Parts: sequence; C-alpha cells; structure tokens
Amino acid sequence: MAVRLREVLSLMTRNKQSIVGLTIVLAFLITAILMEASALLNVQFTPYPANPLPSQASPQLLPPSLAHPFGTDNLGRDVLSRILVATPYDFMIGFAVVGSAVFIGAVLGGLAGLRGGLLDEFLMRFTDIFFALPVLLIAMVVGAILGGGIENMSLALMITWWPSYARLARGESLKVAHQNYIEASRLSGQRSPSILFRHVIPNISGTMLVYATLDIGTVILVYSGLTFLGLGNHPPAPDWGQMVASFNGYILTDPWLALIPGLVISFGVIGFSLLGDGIKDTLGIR
Amino acid sequence: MASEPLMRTVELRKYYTSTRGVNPLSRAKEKVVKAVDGVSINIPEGRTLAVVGESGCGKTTLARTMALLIPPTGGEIYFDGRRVDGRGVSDREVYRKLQMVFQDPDSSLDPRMRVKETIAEPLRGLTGMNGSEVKAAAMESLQAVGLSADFADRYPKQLSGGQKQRVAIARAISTKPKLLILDEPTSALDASVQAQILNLLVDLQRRYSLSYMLITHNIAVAAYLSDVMAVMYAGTVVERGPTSEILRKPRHPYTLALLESAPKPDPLNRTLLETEISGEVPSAINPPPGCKFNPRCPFAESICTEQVPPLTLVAEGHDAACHFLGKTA
Amino acid sequence: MAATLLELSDFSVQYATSRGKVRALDSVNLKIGKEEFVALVGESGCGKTTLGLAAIGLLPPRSATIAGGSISYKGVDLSKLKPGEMQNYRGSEVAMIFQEPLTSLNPLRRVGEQIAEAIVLRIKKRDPTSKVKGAPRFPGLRWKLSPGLKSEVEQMLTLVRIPDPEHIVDRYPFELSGGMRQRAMIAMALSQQPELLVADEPTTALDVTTQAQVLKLMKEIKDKLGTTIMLVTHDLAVASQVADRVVVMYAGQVVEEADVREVFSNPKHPYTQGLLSCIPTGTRDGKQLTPIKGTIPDLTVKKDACLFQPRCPYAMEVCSKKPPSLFEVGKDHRAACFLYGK
Repeated sequence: MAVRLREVLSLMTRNKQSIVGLTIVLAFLITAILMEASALLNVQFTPYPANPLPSQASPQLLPPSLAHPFGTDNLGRDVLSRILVATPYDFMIGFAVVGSAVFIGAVLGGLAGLRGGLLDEFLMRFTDIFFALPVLLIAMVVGAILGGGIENMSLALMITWWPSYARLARGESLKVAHQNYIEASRLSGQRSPSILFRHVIPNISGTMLVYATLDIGTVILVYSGLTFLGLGNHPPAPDWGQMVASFNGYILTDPWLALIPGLVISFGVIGFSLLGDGIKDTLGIR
Repeated sequence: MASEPLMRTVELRKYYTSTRGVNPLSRAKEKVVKAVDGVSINIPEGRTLAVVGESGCGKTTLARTMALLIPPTGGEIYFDGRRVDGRGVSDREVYRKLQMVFQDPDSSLDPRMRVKETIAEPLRGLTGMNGSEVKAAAMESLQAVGLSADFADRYPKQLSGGQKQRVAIARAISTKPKLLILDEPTSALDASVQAQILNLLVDLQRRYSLSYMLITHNIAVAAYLSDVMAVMYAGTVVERGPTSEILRKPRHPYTLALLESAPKPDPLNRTLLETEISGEVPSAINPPPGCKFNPRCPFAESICTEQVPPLTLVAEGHDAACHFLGKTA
Repeated sequence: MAATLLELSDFSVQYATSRGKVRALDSVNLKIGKEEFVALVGESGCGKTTLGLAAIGLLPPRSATIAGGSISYKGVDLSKLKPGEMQNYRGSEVAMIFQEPLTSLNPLRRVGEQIAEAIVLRIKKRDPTSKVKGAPRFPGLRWKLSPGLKSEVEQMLTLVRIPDPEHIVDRYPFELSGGMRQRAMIAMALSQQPELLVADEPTTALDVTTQAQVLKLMKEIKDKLGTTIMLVTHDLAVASQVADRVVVMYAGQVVEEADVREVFSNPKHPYTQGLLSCIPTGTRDGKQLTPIKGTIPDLTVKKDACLFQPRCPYAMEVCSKKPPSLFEVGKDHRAACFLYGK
C-alpha cells in the first residue's frame, strides 16, 4: 500500500504541468480539511465567521481591501471566509462522485471484460441504460423528490456518472484478460471475482486514474451549475455556485461578488485538469 | 511402458462454431473450426511428451483443453488415474498436481505483483498452507530455479526475459505438481538464455520427478527435451512414438517434411534446401477432405481425398496415420 | 573474392534514447562481395538490424546518428547522398524485406498494384521520359494495369513461386497467408532489380515448412539472378543452411567472419563457440547444453576493452585493456580476439 502511494505521488510530480496542478489541488484539499476540522471542533479558522449575526457583520458591499481581501457581500459577510467554508462541499463532491463512479465502473466494466460472453453483453446493456440518463434531468427529478442540497445532488450525480467508467474499464480489462498471468491465476484456483480484484483492477487503475483526475473538475463544474439552478445547498450555507448565481445582479456595481467565486471554481477545475494531463503524459496514455 | 501414463486423452475434440450473430433470420451458415479433432496421446510418468507442429495444428488448443482452461467438445481426459473432463471435477484439486508455463514471459507475470507474490499465488489458492508456510515454500521454489533470494522483492519490469521465465517456472512448481504443461517455453528467448532454461527444465525434471508436456514448433528443442513425441497437423496426430525413433525413421510424409525443413546447424547437411514441401497449412474453416495433408503430400492418391487414414502401428510404440506407409519405410 | 559491393569502414552508429546514447554499432569493418549470400548473425541487441537499415539508408533520422566511419556502396559513401540520390539508390540498387510482411505491404491496396508500382518506379528510373502510366492519383481508386504491366507483375509472382498468379494480382494482403505475403514482399523488392537484397529476419514469423520454402527461394534468387543477399538473423542454424559466409556480431561489433563451413567446423571466437554449444542438436543422451554465462553488456557505456571479456572463459589481462581488432585466423577467416593476435 505504501509503495502504491509512493508510486502514485511520483507519477504525479513528474512534469511541471502536474506539479502545478498538484499544488492547486493540494491547496484546496488542505483548505477543505481545515474547514471540516473547524466545523467539527467548533473552532473558527477563517478570518471572519461565514454566517455572522447582524451585530457581527461588517459594512455591506465593501470592495476588496486588506481587511476583507475578497470584499463583503450584500449582508456584510466576508466573501473570503464564505468561500473557504464552502470548500469542503464543493470540492469534496468531486471526489465523492468520481470515486464512486470509478469503483462501480471498475467492477462492472472489469468483470465484463474479464468474463466476456453473455455476462459482458448483459452488463454493457445495463450500462447503456444508465448512459442514456441525462444528468440534469435526473438531478431535477431527485431534487423534486428528495429536495435539493449537496447530499441529494451527490446521489443524483453518482447515479449518472459511472457508465463512462464502466466502458473505459471494460476496454482496459479486455486487454488484460488475454494476458497469460490471468490464465496462470485460474490455474492457481482463483475464480473470476478474485481475479478481478487481484489482477484486473490494479492493472487498469492507471488509465482510470488519469480519466478520474480530469473528471473531478467536471463534476465540480456540473455541481456549480446545479447550484446555479437552485438545486444545491440553500443559503445561508455558503456554496460557490450559489454565490455566483445570487450575485449575478451585482455584476455591474460590485463585480467581485460573482467573479471571485467563479474564478475559484475555474481554478479548481484547472488544477485537476493540469494534474490529470500531467499524469496522462507521464504514463503515455492516449 | 507397462505402467499407467500420468495423463492421457482419448479422442479429444475441441470444435469452435462461429456464431451467426444476433440476427435469428440470418442465413449465414454456422462454420465449425475443428481445432482439435480426435487426439489421443499419453504422457508417461516422469518423462516428457513433445507435441510438435506448426501454426494452426491445434497444439496450443490441445494444451489449454488438457489444462482444463477450455472445456472440451468431446472425448475423455484422464489425469493421475481419474477422469477429469466434464463436471463434478474440482479444478483446484487437479491444479495442485498440474501446472502450466506459457510462451511469453512478459505477459506471464502480473506487472503489479512482486516476484514472491506471483510465486505464492498457487500456494495460496490451492493449498491450505498458512502465511509462513507459503513464504517458505515460495522461497524454496525461487531458489530451485536458480534465482537468489533477493529476487523475491523485485517487480517484473526489473527482470530480464530469462529471469521472468524462471519466475514463471518457479510459480508452476511451487505446489510440487506432477505434470507441467510447457507451451513454447523458450520460443521468445535468445539462444543462450534458451539453453539455460532447457538445462533448468532437465534438472527440475530429474530432481522432482516431473512429467512434461512440451508444446513446440522447434524440432531441436523437442528432440532435446522429449522422450516421446506426437506430431500434429491440422487438428490431428499424424505420428506418435519414441522421439529417437521418430527422428531416426519418420514415417508420415509430413513428419519427413517437417524434419527436413527444420534448420540444423550443419552447413554440410543442407536438408532445408532439399526439401520439396510446398503449400501452406490448410485453412481451419475449410480443411481438405480426407487426409488433411493430401494437397501437399508427394505420395497422395485418390484414396487420400476420400478417407482419413487411421493411426497404424509401424514399430514398437510407434504409429503413423497414412495410407501409404510403404512409401516411407 | 568477388568485387566488393558494400563496404563498411570503421562504421559506428549511435541511438539517442532516454537512457543515454546507445552505441548500436561500434567500428564495424565489413565487406560484402557481389553475388555473396552473407548471414549477419547475433542475438538481440547485437546491432545486426541497425547494420541492415544503414545499408539501405533507413536509419531512423531523429534518433540515429553516424558516429564515425563510413558505409559505401560501389564506392559511394551513402551518408553523403542527397535525398534525391538516395531515392534512386533505394529500390534499384538495394532493396529490403522485413520480418512482418503485413506492415510492409499496404493493407488497403491490392498486391498486384503494389508490385506494379515498384515496376513502374524501375522503368521511370531507367528512363525518366518514359510514358508508362503509374498508379492513379487518388489512392482509393482501382488501378487498371495495362496488359504489359500486368504480365510483368505475373512474371514476378511466378518468380517467387506464388501459385495462381493471375488471381493473386487482384488480392489484398490480408487474403494471403504469411508465406505468400512474404513472397509478395520479395517480389516487390525484386521488381526494381536490385543488386543487393537486405532481408531482416524474413522468416522468423513463419512456420518451419514455410520458412524452408522462402529460404530456398532466396537461394534460388541469388543463384538465378545473381542478387547479393544480406540475411539478418538470430538463428545460426538458418544461417548454416543457406549462407555462403557468416558474420557473427556481438554488442555492436563484428567478432567473427568466415565461410559458413569454417564457422561451424572451426569456430575461433569464444562467443561463436559459446553460441554453437547452446544450440540443441538431436536427442539429449545425457549431454548438457553449455549456455554462455553472464548477460549482454550495457551499450550506453563506452569501454576500451573487449566487450565479451566478462563472459569469456579464456579472458586474459590484455582483454580488459584494449579492444581487439579483427585478426586473420585462417583463409578468409577473421576473429576479434586476443587469442589470435595482439
């Protein structure tokens, strides 16, 4: 396990692109962890509270300054603090959705490629059904039935996100399935599920990792879109996409209110893209 | 040989049908590829049987069918006194005594597993040994193939072709099997490395009383390693017998051509330039009628296109499938 | 010896790789005479393929550099040829056939058309004003061969003993078997009537009986057409069956060269002796094969010594001090070993 981690880290730092990407991602990650810790420990790590009482609030609509690097919003809340507090949600949803997609996809696709035949057909047609579900529609349906909010939206995204990973895993698994060491594994008495987890998945994980890293940014973007539509976390909980949405009207007078959260989202996506591209180049994967 | 062979097949068949696709109305005829078409061979205990042939003769399919990796279409397989084809046979029990080494050393080892984990896999899957027993047995196996203990922690990409093949052999013998099926074990290796592996195989056979089934297209390797030989052509055995006998006096016209064509390092004996063989191995989907060798056979007559010749005894323990054995006597 | 066709003089080639500069060929001295059948023999990494590629001017331009010496054909230094001249040289003077015929035959064009293309090239090279029609401009269009051209193509196919040439002309490469494809490639190579044919492991991917047929064909071509053949192979036994002369290579250098009978009956270089004793011949009868101990040296490191020394059973002190040159050890027999000279 330790070797895997070292391998993965060395993969990620091999070229300039991915180092930049990794730095950005790590910055977000550390922030997310700190914010979660602060919530759990009931300690405030941000310069100002994210949801201050009217008495604690600063003057409204202050432009960026030394005291408030990102300015304040229409309720006098420090924008920087709100952005920081939103990090765990907006950032982690990327990991949660892609993580589950990778797992589901790897198991279904890996098994399909390994076994072939009817099972392959069945699994792939099952995947096709989910492929056909439009993300937005499912999100809205889930929003209507279960209500909005980050957990429900995560669920909606997880339902629709895994099919492309299953396809990818199947393609990679087909290549692995013909290798002699798979046959040798059968000769060692292993059955397909065991072969899937011991041999197939470790050997397809490289390509899937690349795909996943590039994808996390996309999830963040999509979730921001959902929040923009009103399906995400409701105020007063801070949320990047929601901030962009609600401060749309202030674009001409106090542009920083909508721009800065938007830039933060972009930054997150760029970070993952760079990291993913870097790993892709290192591994020589198309 | 009076004693019971360790493994034998009786009229073993493996046919592949090319499917017509999903369309039930499709009028495409189902084509049948008879990869293995009635093969009966014996592997004597403690000895080596070489199955020799060119591409498409079915030797690889035969090996995998006998290793129970592919279900046979017909015929019987007996191993260590019991019938092992068909259901009801636990393949785990068979694999404790039967293992396989493959041709391509690069794809024989999982690139993400260390050498010691690779060698331990059959031990973990087939025996009830606990962790430390497995470790000890794996190390023993590693040293038996001539690799020092510090190879145990390496990954395949740190090994040369010959070393990878040794690890594959170590994995195969880790459960102390009785039979090893070797599928072209040295074809992908350089001459010097091949010699090392051949020496190793001879040594292991002696030390552990192993039986080998050697699949190869290389006559020289077959001659060196085997005691008995079976020559295959287009899915059937055309000649069987003691290796020395077949080399000295081949009786089937194909065996003759094969031995002539095999290059020997002897510039004064250029049999290769004298061989009259023409044509290519037949298509598996549309084989010639009767004896499958008839289009290329210098002795072929009309009966050869009508009847498949049966294996006929030509000497003690030596038979060949030809209508005109008199021509090669 | 016959007139020299190809001469390598202290010829060295380096490849740039991620591990550093690999010395694929190191000061190779070799002469190939007209109408000789020479086999370049060695294990993987010995440089034989590089030598073959150099003879036809096909060294990969971005990674390979000539690090010294020269390679000349009929006295002309190949590295000094301009691209236009190299085009003329390739095909009509020297042709090459490769191991995997599927990659040298265009899978999208009919076999007959590809051979015809080579024939037209020959005609145009001899007579640039010739009005013979070449392939259609759009590669996808079918080329209707003129009767004269078609019959020449069929003649080439018959020369390489392809059965049923009139029908094969219209076939695509994937419709032919491995042996037939290889013959088609030979036909293409011979269409420009080259003087030298370089064959890089042409039969390694073929069945034993097919290999025999193709090798027989190559010997016939040499005997009937007077083509000089340079066969690159890892298989000493194959070399013994067809070649007139054998050149043994190790780690980018020529270590022994002699008439084929000499090499097998009287091998002088310890590497050649080692190679011969690892080939299994006949039944075991209690004998053991004696493999060569050690492994191929790292070609990124330059050593001022005999490269075989670490594996040599006869290694002496001088072997680690300087590299041996090719010493005369018999009639037309040379070996690079200090056992035979200083």
